[in-house]
Amino acid sequence: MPQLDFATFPTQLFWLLISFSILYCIIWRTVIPRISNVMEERQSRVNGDLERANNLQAEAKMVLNSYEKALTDGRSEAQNLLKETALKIAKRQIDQETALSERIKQMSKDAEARIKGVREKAMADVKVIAVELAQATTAKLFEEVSSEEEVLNVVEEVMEEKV
Amino acid sequence: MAKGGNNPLAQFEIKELVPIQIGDINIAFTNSAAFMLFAVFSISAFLIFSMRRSTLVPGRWQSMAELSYEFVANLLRETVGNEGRKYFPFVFSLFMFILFGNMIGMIPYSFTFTSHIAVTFAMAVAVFLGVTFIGLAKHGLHFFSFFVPPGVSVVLWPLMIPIEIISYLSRPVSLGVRLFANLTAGHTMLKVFAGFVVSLGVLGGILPLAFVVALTGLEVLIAFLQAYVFTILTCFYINDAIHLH
Amino acid sequence: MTLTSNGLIVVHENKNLDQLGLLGDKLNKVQEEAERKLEKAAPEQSIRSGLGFAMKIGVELISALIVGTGIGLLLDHWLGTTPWFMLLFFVLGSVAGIMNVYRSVNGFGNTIGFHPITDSKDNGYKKPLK
Repeated sequence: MPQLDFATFPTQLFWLLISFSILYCIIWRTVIPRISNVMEERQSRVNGDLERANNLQAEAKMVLNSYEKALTDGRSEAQNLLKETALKIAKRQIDQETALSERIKQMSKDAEARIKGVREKAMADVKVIAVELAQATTAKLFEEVSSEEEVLNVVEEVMEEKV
Repeated sequence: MAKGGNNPLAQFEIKELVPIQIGDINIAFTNSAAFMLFAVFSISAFLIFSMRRSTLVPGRWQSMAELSYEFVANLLRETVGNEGRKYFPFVFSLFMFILFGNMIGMIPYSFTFTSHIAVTFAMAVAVFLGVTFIGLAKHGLHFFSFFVPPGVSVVLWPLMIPIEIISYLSRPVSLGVRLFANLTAGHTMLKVFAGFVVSLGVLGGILPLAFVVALTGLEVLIAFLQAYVFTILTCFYINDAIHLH
Repeated sequence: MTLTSNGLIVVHENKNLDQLGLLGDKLNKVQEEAERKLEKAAPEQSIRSGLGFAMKIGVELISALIVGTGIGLLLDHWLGTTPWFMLLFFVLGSVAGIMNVYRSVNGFGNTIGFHPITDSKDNGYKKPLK
């Protein structure tokens, strides 16, 4: 077995020492700083990106929230306005209605009063005419003039019966 | 997988390319040394060129480099915690060195330096000594409380303490032997079946050929797995030395 | 008129809300994923092949045996008690090896000391990884 040939051991150990030392120096001085630099840079870049994305997300959420708030605020405001306006309108309507009915009542009252006056006047006229007519009639029939008071009494009696 | 010869162990032979001698010690530049340097070169090329025009959104090569970095970093972070950061360059180098050593060994006619016990055991011993040193530096003599199993009566201590010491000392042996044994066994098996394919010809060799293909897939998995196991055990040992439980 | 305009606004609002919700979902997903990644255990479960596990157990046993026997041989060499320390440490080594195996099977990791680790930081021990 060539591996157990002790004569070759010194050269193997010597060249192992040499080559491994060279490798160690290269890796220690050149390779590791280079790779770790790149990887650290990437890590920090990725971390930065992640952080930025997180921040942006939070910001977007905030904006969305404020937007939503504004929206709901606007909605409720509009609702309030609507309600208020409706109330106002209803109130005004009621006011106007009452005013109108008042006026109508007044007018009908006036009209009634006028009708009453006219009727009374008509009644009086009717009485006078009836008395005159009765006097004239009695005079023609009985050639006797009845006194005005007598006739009036009779007329009133009849009228009361009739009316 | 080595050139020529039917001996499945021939692929592990170390051939001198440039003889160098310092005093009595032969430190010739061999095929093993060449492949170690090639692994170092490949790792550096891979890691440096893929990160050359590094961008925030990685391309294919860059993400592979980052993946290997992340893999080892996670391993260390999960086993040791943040105190393990200091040892990351070492652990990362170790992982890449073993992984590339194993993977390069998968190429036909190449040499697998991680299939040599001298290399694997040296790495294991280096890890073991380093970890022991960390433990001693961090905890002083309190480190030796490590060898006293808690919840065991004092009567059993003379028995338990040697067992624990043997257990502790067996760490580098198992660490080194595991890597060596896995790669040697795998490569030998591949070579044996590849030899069957050659000797049986195209027609008779279909079954062994399919087997070799399957085995190669398994070997790639093992190449990664063994690098991973070596690395994670190193992490465990570092964690033990730091936290001492 | 107010009604229609109101209706239009309501539709718009819903659309915006949907988009915002989508963005929020996406963000949450990304963040959860990042957190999960931090917590996630790196070792892939599928990697733990049975073959590797069996291999590990054998190596564990044999290496403790090698170390024990080696220590015994060294002590014998120094003290001149030739087979005895070797025999004693062979036994100790096999006990240590069996203990290593027991621990790795029970997921206490490759550590010395019997007790399972309760410290959350040491999660790595809990799983037999090989």
